[in-house]
Amino acid sequence: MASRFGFRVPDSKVRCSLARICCLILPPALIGVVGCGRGGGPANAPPREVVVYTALDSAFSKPILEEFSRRTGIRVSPKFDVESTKTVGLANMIRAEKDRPRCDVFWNNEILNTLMLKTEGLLEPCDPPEAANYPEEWKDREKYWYGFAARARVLIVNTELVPAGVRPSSIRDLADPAFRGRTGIAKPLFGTTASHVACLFAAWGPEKATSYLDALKANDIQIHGGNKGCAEAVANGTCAFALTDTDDAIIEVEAGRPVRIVYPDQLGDGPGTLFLPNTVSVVKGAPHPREAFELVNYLLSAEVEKRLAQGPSAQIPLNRTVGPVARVRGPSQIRAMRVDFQAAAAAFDAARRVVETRFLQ
Amino acid sequence: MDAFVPPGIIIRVTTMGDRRRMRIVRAARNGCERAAHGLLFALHATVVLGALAGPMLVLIGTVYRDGAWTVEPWRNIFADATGIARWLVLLRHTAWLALLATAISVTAGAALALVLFKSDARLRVASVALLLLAATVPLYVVAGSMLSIMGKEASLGSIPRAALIHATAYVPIVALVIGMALRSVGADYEELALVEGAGTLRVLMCVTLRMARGGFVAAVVLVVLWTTTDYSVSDVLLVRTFAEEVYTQFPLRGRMQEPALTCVPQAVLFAALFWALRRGFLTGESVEGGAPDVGARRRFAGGRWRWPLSIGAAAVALFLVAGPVVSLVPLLHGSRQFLENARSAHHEILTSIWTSLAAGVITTAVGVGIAWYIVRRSRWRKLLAACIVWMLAFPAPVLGIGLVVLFNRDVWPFDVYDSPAMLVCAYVARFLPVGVILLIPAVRAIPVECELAARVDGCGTAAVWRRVVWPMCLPTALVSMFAVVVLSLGELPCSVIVTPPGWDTIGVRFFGALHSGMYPDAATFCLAAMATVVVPWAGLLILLRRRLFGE
Repeated sequence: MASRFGFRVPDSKVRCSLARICCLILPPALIGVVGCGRGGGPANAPPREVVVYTALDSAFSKPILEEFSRRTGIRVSPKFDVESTKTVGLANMIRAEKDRPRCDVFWNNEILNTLMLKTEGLLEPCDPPEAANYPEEWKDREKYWYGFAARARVLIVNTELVPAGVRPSSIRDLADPAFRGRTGIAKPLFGTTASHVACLFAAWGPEKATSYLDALKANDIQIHGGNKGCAEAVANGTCAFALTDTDDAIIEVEAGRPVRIVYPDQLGDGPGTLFLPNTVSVVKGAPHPREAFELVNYLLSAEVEKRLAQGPSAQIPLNRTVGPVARVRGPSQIRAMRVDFQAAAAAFDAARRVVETRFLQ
Repeated sequence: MDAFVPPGIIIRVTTMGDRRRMRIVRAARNGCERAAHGLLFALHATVVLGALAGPMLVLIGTVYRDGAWTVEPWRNIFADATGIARWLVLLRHTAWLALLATAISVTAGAALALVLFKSDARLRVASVALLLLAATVPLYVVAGSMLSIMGKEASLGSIPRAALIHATAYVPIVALVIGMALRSVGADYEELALVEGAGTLRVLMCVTLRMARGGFVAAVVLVVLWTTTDYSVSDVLLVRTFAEEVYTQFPLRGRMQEPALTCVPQAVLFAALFWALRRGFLTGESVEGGAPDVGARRRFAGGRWRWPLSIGAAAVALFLVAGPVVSLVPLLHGSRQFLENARSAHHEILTSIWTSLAAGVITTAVGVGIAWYIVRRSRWRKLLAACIVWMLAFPAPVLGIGLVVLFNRDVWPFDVYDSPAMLVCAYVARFLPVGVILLIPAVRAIPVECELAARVDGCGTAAVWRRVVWPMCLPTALVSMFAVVVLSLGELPCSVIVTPPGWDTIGVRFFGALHSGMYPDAATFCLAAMATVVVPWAGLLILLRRRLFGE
């Protein structure tokens, strides 16, 4: 028999090799099939399961979901999204599946897409007992969604590149010509950056918000794949300062990188810093409503709030029974931007179209 | 059917009673054979049509929406000023990326192939074995390791860096493809040219490389196809290409029309190209088995460059395998964290393994039959070749969208959409053409006489497959199965879109982690993915060492 690479081949060995190959392939295949069986629970009882779509980074959300699973015996099947299509991808998936939903719980890392899903009639009300510990402003009166574990939209500044005297104090400084090409934001079509733009459309009006985006574009602002990328770019000096979330900024601060967090728009009559809570809601027609209810109740517990606050992401607790954390400032400690989130959700599509024509060419 | 009886077949003479009994037995057997053949035919038709259904649904969806025919998405993409401007940007970036990746990978691959397959360099066996290992390293592993060196943030928007990642990942395959073509060049022409007084370099350029141009064409087409239909690198580096546009637009709008349409011209272009080249890899005479023996092969003497070339080629091959490991290990932050991260990903590793194995088994089982139809049944040849070409040319992300559209509905008796069967379907639809292309030479190498002899003995098509075709194709079928398993383990553009909740593969998990940067978790997933592919392949190479490399 001819060798494939120009070397001699003893034909008699082939059969022996094939038998060995079968021995090599079949056991792992069997182990794989058996090992991947979802199993669990009594033989005749269907296993309890809950499907959760979560936009919070898997590094932060997965341990919490695993803990829930361990305590309740309910198997959690999570679907995480990717930084580059944050939140919007999962929301659109829920829309695409509205005729045969498979998602039970939507754990969104912001609020506007949850509000849009509610408006479209894709969510179902639920009233978990733990929700009583949250202020009225962070939960829906009609009980469709609950806000918890907020993050602030902050500026992360490289202290070596930007001296103390000229540090930015407002998100308008991203368009400052003195820092042309050296400021950054995440791709403003997805995630909390898209929500922030929609909030600006609601708070400032379309004309002012559009001219602000034009100014950013004219200032050659760097576009990064996500907020984490923005924080890293500032930390390694690619960027002088950038707009990001507190959870991404605090990691760089605590890693000892030469960066500082600036809560924007606190001076004078500035509008204040935008806070965006995580939101949790039950999808309409959820295949596992009881398990979904249990998961929502668990996510709103003080224990989860504390865990998210004390973890590497340093989320800001909104639960009244959990005190403020020292690592980041909450809406009760600094001037928070007052936004009508419902109006911002209504402006989301218009804002996206403006962004698309400027930043997706 | 009155089959031609080749010489050497013994026809038995029987009595009248025997004939009656034989007629009854034959009728019963023919009925069973026809039923078995019908079942096999239906199975193959189902798989081929199933694999084509997703792409076809997407294309229909671009012109049919909300119960009416519409040209609106076409106008948005190709007539609207903004749409066409964006399309031209995508075209420019995609072309530039493909051009750079092809130039780098084919130049490096051809140089490696010349040293390893056409010179008398030392360490050839070890270098080729390393290249075979490197060929299985998934693109995303190469991307992870190179981004850990180059820096992700510093590489944002850089087409040359994206091209370098693609090229590095494809160099081993390109070297092997070109090397096989160089090997097929017989010594006669080269000797003749040398006798005529041409120098070694001139013979290499004018004879060897010219006669191996088929390998170069195949390598270029492969690199261009893979580079232009993958978004795992361009999405991370924010390089705007057609594939990245599909991946961005689908989650952004939740619609398939616009993303699919941006890719239609590209898919049609590749389909036309593959159709034009189909005789070379699909329907024409095979290189292996059916091709005339090329006789002795010539290896050019390296002279005083022999050892430097040998060491250089071996070093490059070693770098392609060990480079990712060396660059990723320092990111792990110790063995304890590595083990913790690896343990947290064990479900993803197992899911990757068994879905890939399932895809490999299905693809190979059906691929043998399809290859047989293409080789032996001329009336099916063109139709099947067209199907294979279309599947091969269809962009992976759009295929993923098609599968979502196909299975996200209530008409199916089994809930495919929520199960890992979605992953298996995606792998089969993507890699069935690869399996068929690998199996065609093996089917063609089966002597027709064997099949005719089986038919004379009363075998129907199903029995011929069972007793002749499958046993004689077994070695190639195993190689084909392993190739599909390896490709499936490294698949990302389709699986990111179709993965159901709770069934992430290791590649999907890594892709999610990579966007946050090359941290210990991303490095662990990267190494785990590499081990999942490379370790079994290394074992297989050791088992097949005599067949591949001789004593």
